[in-house]
Amino acid sequence: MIQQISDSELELMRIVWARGGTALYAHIMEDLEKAGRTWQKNTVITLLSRLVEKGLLRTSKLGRRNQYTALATEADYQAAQAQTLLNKLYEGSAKGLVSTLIERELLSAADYEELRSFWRDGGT
Amino acid sequence: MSELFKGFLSLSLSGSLVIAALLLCRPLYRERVSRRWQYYIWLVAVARLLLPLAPEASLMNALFRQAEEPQASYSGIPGEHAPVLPSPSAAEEDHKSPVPARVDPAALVRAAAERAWVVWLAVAALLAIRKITLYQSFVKYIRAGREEVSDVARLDALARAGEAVGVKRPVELYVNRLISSPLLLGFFRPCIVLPGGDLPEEDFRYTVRHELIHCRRRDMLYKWLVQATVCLHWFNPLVWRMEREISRACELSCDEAALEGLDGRERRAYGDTLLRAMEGGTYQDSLASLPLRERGKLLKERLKAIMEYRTRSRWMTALSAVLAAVVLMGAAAAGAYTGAAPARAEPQRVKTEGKGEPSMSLRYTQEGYCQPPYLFELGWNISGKAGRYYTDQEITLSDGTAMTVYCTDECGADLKDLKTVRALAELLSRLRQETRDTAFPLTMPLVVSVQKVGDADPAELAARYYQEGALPQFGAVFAQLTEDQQRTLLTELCEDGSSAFLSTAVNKLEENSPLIEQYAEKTYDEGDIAAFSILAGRMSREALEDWTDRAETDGRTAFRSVLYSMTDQVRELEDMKAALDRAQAEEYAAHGLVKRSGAYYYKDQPVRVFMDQRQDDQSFRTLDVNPRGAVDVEVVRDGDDQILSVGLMSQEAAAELLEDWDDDDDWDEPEPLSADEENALPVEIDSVKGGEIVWLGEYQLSCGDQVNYDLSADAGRGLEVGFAKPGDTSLNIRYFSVSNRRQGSEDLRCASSFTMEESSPVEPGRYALYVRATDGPLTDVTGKIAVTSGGEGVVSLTVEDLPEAVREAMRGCGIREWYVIPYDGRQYISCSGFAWSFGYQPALTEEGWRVNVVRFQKKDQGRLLLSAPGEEGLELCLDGEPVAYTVLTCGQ
Repeated sequence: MIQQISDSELELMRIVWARGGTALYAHIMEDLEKAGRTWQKNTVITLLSRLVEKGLLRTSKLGRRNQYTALATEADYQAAQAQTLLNKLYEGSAKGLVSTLIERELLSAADYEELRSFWRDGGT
Repeated sequence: MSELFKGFLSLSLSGSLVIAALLLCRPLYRERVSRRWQYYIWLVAVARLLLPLAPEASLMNALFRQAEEPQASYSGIPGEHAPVLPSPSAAEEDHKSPVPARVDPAALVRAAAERAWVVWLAVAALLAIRKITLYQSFVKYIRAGREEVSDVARLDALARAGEAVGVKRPVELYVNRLISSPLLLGFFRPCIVLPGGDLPEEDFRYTVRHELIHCRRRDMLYKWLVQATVCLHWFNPLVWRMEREISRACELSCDEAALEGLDGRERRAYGDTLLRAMEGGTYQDSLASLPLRERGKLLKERLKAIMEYRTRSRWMTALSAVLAAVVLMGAAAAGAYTGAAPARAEPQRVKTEGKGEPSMSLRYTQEGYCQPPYLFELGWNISGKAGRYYTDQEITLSDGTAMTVYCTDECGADLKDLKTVRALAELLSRLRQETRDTAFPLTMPLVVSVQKVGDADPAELAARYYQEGALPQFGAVFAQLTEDQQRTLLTELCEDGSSAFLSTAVNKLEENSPLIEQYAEKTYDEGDIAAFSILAGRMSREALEDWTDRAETDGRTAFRSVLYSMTDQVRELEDMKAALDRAQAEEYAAHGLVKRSGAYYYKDQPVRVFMDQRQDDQSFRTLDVNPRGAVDVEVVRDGDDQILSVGLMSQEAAAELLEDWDDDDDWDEPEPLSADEENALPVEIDSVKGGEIVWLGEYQLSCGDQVNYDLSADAGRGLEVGFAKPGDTSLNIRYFSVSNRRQGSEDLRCASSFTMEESSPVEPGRYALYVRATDGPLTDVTGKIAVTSGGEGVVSLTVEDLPEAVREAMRGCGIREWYVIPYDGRQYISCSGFAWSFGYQPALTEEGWRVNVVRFQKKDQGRLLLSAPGEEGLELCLDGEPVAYTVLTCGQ
């Protein structure tokens, strides 16, 4: 079970994932800068150590530098999040989710077609 | 055990005295000294309560031993032994009833006292357990209901506040709605817990600032120390009182620290924050947490202190130091009972003998001695510890006794030679005879070097040793010279101004040598004060007094001051200085110059460079630099010290002097200057176009360096200052950058400080400093930026400071050879037998560190040990001349 993480933590995770699952602290800061984030050094350290505590990252020393390694892939994380959403709102029923999406017209016609073909192929 | 308990009672009692003294004297110091002082001074009481250290002659020992004495006639625990001398009445009772029915109440009390320590320990343990479990359940309670604060803006504000108060490590931030006041938890991973997440921005800033200061000062540690003291001294109501006083003082001094650097408006806002924190729930503040909010009286006191906050004057700081010293001494004198008095038969500490040389002091001497045909450089009274580093050899002296002689590696071979050994034995016998009745007899001799001089002409030898700078050998030979030859050399030494050689030579002169008086006359006439003072060192008291009279009559102030200090006429010396100062002040005042509190003013403007110089020989009378001054002033005098002119100095001359001044300062003050001092880079930029980057030079940043910014812009909306890699002109990556936008009518200011830590993501290297207008044009960007070297530069060490491996590597080092031992990122410079007082000028050049050792004065002994950063490329100089050195590797 992957714990809930905040938006800013997710942003850091995305940076680590984008770097292939391993990133030096310096790289993370670099990418944050590129993304126009001017977060304070200690803020980032705090967020990273929370991610370590939540079991999403592992930290190791590369010489004097801190290296962070993702313990879950982005796909793992998305799947876990989707599962959490399903459990929370639709009591585990994927059908309920899809029908809500359709009812509220949150799915485009093309999305709907794709889902249908997926259903048909998977079902038969 | 009861002895221990008694010792403990004495601690409690003497601690109480300190507490009572502090409480009673509080009206005297409360409004006068800083809150910080009032907080930490309690540590003296805590130390008194916990540490059983005391001088033998303390109040407590006197008290407790007095109490012991009458008991000494009893034979101890009743029932175990019969009284030594039963009283007649007791004997009668024994006679009447065979069973002793009476219980002596005094004995009962004594028995209870014997067991009291058990009660004491049991209660202390219970209290400690209670306090710890209370704290644990409190922490659990806080943990259970806390939520992380994930708002990056808040975390950033916390990080900035941390930097501002000097907390470098990251601090976690939580919200727990079950608590009513903010608090700080944890020693190793500190975290701040707030009662709610919806604090207004300003309240948040001040709240965390306050908590961060607790964190920086390790107040938790102090609190627990006090808690431990309370547990142990649970029976002492004054200790409980002290605990309350300390938590009060803690909050007040924390407020004081938080207010440092805030302006009037911000101080009000801080007070508002305190007041607002009053509203809200009531949670029983737990032990060892540090609540910001306090009730009633304390809050009022804190608000009052905030209103009256002022910076303490330097004078007050001095007073605080004196007060602390008084309290400390009082605490030491109150003392502790250190156990039973030492038995009378035990030898008392041996008093030092008449000569005034303390028996424990370790004195070492090293000089050259002539023992034809050899010249020995010999020292004695090396410490037993030092003896282990040298090889030793038994030598039989002329009276048949054996003496262990230590020798350095370089002369080990010489001492295999029978003739040399015989000469040495002769020399040692003579020296032992000569020094037998002095305070400093010959023991543990160390042979440093042996030279065979044969029947070479002593005068030639002396000249050669002088050329070579071989001081001990020179001294040895000088003593062998005829008076005429000595005179020739002395003239040469005086002319050359070689103080060290002159000093050695003068010391080798006979007690009443006419040369002393003759050269004193000569140097007095020539005004050579340095040489004169060396000669005066060998004069008799009468001769010195004659000279004093003469100097007074002649009005020779410099000579007078030397003579006064030699004859310990302190009053006269001070009077003379005061009179001179007065005369000079009058003289200056006539030309529009005034000196106020240490700084010169010329026509009411503060003076930056102040130079008072004689025109003919360019000798300075006064040279003073005040970086805060505005004008540079030059006073010119003629040969008779009359002022010719007073006027402004040319820019170039002032600039040159300022440069020299900085150079001079280096060795005087190897400590890095604090960030807001002279080494700050002043910034004055008239205008910056919107989006423009102004580069302010490149800096080498290494671990431990501190960067301080304080810039503000008169007009404009956004300002940013920071570092980038050289060449990164579009600022792709910014380091240590601070950026700010104008908020309403507030100043546009960027002020912050950063430290390059080991864990810092910024790699050491060269960085370019920039200022950027982030949002439209800026005008009048002013302020300062300082880069302070935080890592240890070149430092002087003692042998004890050396890492074991380095000490090991130095084992085989020769005397007066220079060695450099690189180890663990530093280079250790060693020269044993460097018998000089010295200063050193470190400088970081392109190639690496350059250390110039400057010799001042010859000493009897000495050793040079320095450590410089880096592992190689050290350039070593002695008095400006490069020195060759051997590089030793550890572990070889």
